[in-house]
Amino acid sequence: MEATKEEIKNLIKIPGKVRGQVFLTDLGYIKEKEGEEGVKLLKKKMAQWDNPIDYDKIEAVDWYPLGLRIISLLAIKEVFNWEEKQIFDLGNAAPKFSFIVKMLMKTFSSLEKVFNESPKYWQRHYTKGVLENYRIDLKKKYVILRLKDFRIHPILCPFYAGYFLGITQYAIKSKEITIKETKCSFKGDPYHEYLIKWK
Amino acid sequence: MEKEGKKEQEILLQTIKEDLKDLERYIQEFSTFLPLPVCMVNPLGLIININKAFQDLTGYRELEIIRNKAEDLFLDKKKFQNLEKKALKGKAKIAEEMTLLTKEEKEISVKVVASARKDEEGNLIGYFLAFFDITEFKEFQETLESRVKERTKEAEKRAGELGKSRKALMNILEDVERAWTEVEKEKDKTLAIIENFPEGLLFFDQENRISSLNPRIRDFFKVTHQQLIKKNVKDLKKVSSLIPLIKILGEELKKLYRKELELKEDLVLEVSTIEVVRNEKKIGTLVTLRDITREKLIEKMKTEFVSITAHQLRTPLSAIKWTLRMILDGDLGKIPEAQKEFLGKTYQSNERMIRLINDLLNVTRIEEGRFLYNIQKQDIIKLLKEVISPLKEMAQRKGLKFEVEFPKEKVPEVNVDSEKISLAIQNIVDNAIHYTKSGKVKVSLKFLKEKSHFLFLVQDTGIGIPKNQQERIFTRFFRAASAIRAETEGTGLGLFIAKNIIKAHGGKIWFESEEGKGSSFYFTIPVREKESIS
Repeated sequence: MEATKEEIKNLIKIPGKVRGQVFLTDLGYIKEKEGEEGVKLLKKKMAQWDNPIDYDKIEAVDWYPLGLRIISLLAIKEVFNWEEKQIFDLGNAAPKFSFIVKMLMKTFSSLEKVFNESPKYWQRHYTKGVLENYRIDLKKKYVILRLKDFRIHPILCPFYAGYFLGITQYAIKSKEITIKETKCSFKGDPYHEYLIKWK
Repeated sequence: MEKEGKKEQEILLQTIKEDLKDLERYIQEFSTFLPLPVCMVNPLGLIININKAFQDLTGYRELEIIRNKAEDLFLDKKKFQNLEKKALKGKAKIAEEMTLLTKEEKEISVKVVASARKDEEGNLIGYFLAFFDITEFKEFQETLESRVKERTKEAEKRAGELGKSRKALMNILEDVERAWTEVEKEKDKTLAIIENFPEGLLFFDQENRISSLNPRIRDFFKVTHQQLIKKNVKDLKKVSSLIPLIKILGEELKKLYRKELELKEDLVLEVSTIEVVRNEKKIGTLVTLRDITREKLIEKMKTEFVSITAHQLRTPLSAIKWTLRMILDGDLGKIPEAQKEFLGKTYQSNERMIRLINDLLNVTRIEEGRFLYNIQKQDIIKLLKEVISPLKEMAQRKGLKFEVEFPKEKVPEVNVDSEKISLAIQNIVDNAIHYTKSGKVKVSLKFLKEKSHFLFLVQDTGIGIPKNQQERIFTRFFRAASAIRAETEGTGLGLFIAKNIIKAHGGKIWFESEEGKGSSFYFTIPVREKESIS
């Protein structure tokens, strides 16, 4: 079901800010996947919604309304008719494009460091929500991440799943790493919880 | 105050934001325009960042390569792992030549420089990899190496060939040395033979210059090696002792065979020349000189002995002849027939002895050069008629037909020793009658104007001369087997004497004969001036 202009306007009002990098990441991915034609379509969609996001003017380090993050994903989903899997892939690819991630790469020298630094890392991108490294068990090979105070839009669930997996993949050299959202705010849980396992 | 502080904070924040943006833009621009392909790798060996030049080199875009293992970019994983190890130990700028694998699976030769990354606290947080495309350099190097290899191979081949050639040359040299030693040996042998050869050897080269001589020559002519070597015939005339030799050789070194040369009373040489040919090409003339002094002496002594003996024998034989004649003629009284018969045979034998002795004496005189010639102008037809008259009677008595043929035209007189020519004709005609049992004997004389000589022919139908003995017919004491078989009488000296007489007059004698059919003897007497007869 397509979002309406009304819904878009309401989304913009959501409190919280997000770093401009996220939109540049979205744009970079669409360019790679769908080419210039895809970018044109995306911009066209934005235009239909009265250009809440002007991708050409976005600055990576600037802060923008958190709701625009959802709008960007919704636009992509509608234009290209993506499902959760593709959104997941977008999230997984996002760290590759992110300037901020690249700036923070020094923290990705080990698994512990990655997840111990994760709250700071979240704060570099979002002003809302708290990302918590709940548990790391290197012997049993799993990590549990919890994202609290962040019930914004369900479209973000698969996106972050992909994203957290992507970050983990910098720190673990295993081909068999999996992530699963074990708890979801939109399913009645108090927070989003992600279980990352590897072999 | 609070407001001002807040404003100041806002300005600072704004400034920081702008600085950050500028920094981000700067980094982005730098990354885009840096021509050197670079990537950042984390401590796990995962690529975390690349620049545009890297994308252009490898063909990989950010989405495809980030979070992939850096070692997957290289052909030799182990080599890369070694490099990574060193980089993760904190070493800066470690370079290694490697083969990069592009997205299109193309292999590119690159020089990879790895440099460790550390945070502000000095903790290792990964490493940079920079790539230098050395394809061209590698190609050039490979081409160079290939050329060097080729050239080295060529050089080795040539060296091998040279080695072989050298070996072959060494073998050839050894063979040549061996052959040379043999040649030297042979040369020494030859030289020794030449030096010790009992005959004198004189070798003239193609320009008729003396190129070698042996010691005998020096002994014969009392000359030194230097006087003769490299001298031509003209130069040799200046050496007085050589004049007699040069006289008989002539300037062109004419062909000689056993020509006698008396240098002095106690030195007589026999000279022969031999044309020396090699590969069908004349290379010179060899003159051999044999000392026949002793032989000549022996011959002289022999001749003297024969002469003396013959003279000594002739007197008593003549006495026996006249005594027997008187007895047979009855001057000393009549004798019985039986005694007459025996004495008749004795008389015949005595006559034969006298003829033999006369012949022997003639031969010795010829050999001693004392066969003197009394040359006078003669009417040859008249002379011939006188000679053959008794011979004609002898032939007819034997029952042989005797024919004579003379020239019809007027012929010139001829300078001859009439006694000697008569003897020669007599010997030849006598032989013809003697060796013909039946048939005829023909004597003819012709004058050949164009050749200015008389041609005598004595033809018979006698026993003939066997072919294998014809060569010796004019030698002393030779009698053909057919003559011996026919049990005819003869001394074997008649033709020898006839030949010498004809030769002395400047004529020639020859014959044709077939055993059992007869012989034809020809001889010529030239019409010459008296002075030219030897």
